[in-house]
Amino acid sequence: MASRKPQLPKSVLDMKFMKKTKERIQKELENTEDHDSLYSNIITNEMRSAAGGNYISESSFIYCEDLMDGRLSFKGMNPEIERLMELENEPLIKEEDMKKDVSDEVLAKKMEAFNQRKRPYSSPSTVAIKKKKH
Amino acid sequence: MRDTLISICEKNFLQQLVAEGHRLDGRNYNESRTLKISFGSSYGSCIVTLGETKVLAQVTCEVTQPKQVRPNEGILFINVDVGPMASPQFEANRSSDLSVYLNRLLEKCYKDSKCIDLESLCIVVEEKVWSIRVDIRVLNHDGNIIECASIATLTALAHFKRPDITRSGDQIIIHTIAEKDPIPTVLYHYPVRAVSCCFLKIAFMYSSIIVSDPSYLEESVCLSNTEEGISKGGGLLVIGMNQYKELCLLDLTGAAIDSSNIVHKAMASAADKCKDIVDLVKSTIASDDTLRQKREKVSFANTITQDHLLSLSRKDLNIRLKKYHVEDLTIEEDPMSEDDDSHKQLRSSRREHQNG
Amino acid sequence: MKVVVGDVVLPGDQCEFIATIAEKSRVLLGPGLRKEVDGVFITKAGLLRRRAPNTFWVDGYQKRYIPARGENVIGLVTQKMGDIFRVDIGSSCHATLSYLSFESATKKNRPKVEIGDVVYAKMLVASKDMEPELVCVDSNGKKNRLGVLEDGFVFKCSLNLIRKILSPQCMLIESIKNEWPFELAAGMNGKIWIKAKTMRETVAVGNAILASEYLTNEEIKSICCRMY
Repeated sequence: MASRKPQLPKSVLDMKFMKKTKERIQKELENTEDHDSLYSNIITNEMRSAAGGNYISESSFIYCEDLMDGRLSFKGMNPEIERLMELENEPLIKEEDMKKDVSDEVLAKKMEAFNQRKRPYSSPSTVAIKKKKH
Repeated sequence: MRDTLISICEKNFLQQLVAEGHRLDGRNYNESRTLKISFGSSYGSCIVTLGETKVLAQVTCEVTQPKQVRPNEGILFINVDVGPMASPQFEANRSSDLSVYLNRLLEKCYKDSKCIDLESLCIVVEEKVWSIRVDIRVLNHDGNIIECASIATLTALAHFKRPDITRSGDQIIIHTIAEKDPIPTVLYHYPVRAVSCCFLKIAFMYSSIIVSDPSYLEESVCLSNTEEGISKGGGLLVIGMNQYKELCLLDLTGAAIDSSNIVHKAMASAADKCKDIVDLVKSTIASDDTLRQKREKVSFANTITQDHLLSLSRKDLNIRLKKYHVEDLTIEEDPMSEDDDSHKQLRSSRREHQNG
Repeated sequence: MKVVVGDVVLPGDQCEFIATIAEKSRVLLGPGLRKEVDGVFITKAGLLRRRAPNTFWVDGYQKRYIPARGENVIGLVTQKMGDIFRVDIGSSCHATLSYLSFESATKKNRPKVEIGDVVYAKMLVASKDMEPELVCVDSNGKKNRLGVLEDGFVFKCSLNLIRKILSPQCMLIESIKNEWPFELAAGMNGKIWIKAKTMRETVAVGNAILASEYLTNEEIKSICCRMY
């Protein structure tokens, strides 16, 4: 209980007018410690090991069988749902789309050639772009 | 009993569907679901299946004292049990409105119509008579329990045989089946009930639709409407008839009360149906008798093991198009084929767009 | 009895191999399996299944829904009680749904939900000792795909069929999605809600879903292209 509450910093608690609060917090802390020791003789080691370990219990089939969401709409019956369905599928599509059809090296070479060709004029607009890049 | 609520969307959908001339499971208005009767190992026990509705009936007999007003007549007792096995909304060991209603209807149909020769059940006047008890247990509730239960009662009674007795002086000996052949119960006539549901809608105020053998959903839609008001609703119509097309029972709930032409319409179709049912009951009992004479084992186990693999599956789909059969995987003509073509056109035009 | 993956298992059977795996890595125990002090036991009858890497569950035929946290279900609003709705989800007891757990609902701005409405909701609390609790918003307070389902039609089916049509391997939805416009909500509690433009189309979709329960992917494809 005590750990969940926002705790006051120690420097504040040391102040004079916080004396009562400090006492109260200490009392609370003691209470919770008592609480733990109260049940320690009932909770056996076996119970602790049964709860923990490498086991995760799951009562739903959704995660076991990797089921999809059950709310679906097709061919414009419910545009709202279809938009949500698209959003869900988007990450997959993006990965496919992001395949580069021009490799970085080729692009760099082309760019260089392009810049060299353009340099003679060196118009103010290209300068601006260059500045932005840097 | 927990109240059974059906959703607004189900109600609206069903009413619209029925108004359009269809039924959810693809039947026609006056078409019944498939009826199946199977017998247990002892006399007087049977399971009747109507679609997915299942009812078990067991007839037993014992010797008791007759009623004082009718000292020379045997006693017929009918007990209906609708437990949580039928449908989760029913509570165990408590008689719900439905089971009381069913009990009353069955007693009306079989006791009051005097179909059983009760005098033949007398052993010693004012002292000993046979008391026949029919226990009806609803195993699964998918609408139209009334018809299913009545067929089960009739079949069980017709199938039942009581042990023979001999009298020597004051002594009465009841023989076991092995000693002497048991005696079948005498039925004067075979009353059977056909249930129809009628739908009345605001738009069809004066033209009601009668639907026979309602499913659970149809039944509850009809009954839920009656509570709200007659103008909106439908009602349940129970007609009992015997094989001679004589009316044994008429029970009306809801909107069916105030229009006589519905009752007339329903009666005409019920007459043919009842005859068919009685014929089926008689023929199954006859075939069962021949099986038993050949000393073949008859029991409920046979009905379960027949389709072992899919024993839990439903035999009929509760949502079905007309003329749909899973077995041959073929479905009727294609009225929407033009629509399909338009889809194809759409698809191809899209492709063109992408190419261009 | 000791069992392995793929076996028909019965309640009380013990799986030793899961315990041996659990010594090395994490194991996810799904429905039908239970960790006790002296091993992993089966609590349901069915087939023991495994999904890579270490997910185990028992696949059995079931019609009655047992609430599980995080599942989306279709419920029927049966009662309004103060600030909650009582929702019938087909489990042993009714679930509760607070009227505040709808998108942009406040104490003054109540959501429009009537008795007899059908809702698609997420199971928030599902414990065996408490009433299940539903919500119609996600963790961000958006309604996402949840909420009241209007019109259409609801029907019941086995829980296995829901899992079948929602599994990524099943071809059913793939095969019918291009036929005509329709929408569908499948609740893990064995209820399916469908809605299409016409009655006939709605019935046809429902028909296809119910028919596919015991069919293979090829058979499903063949009924779907001949549907209607």
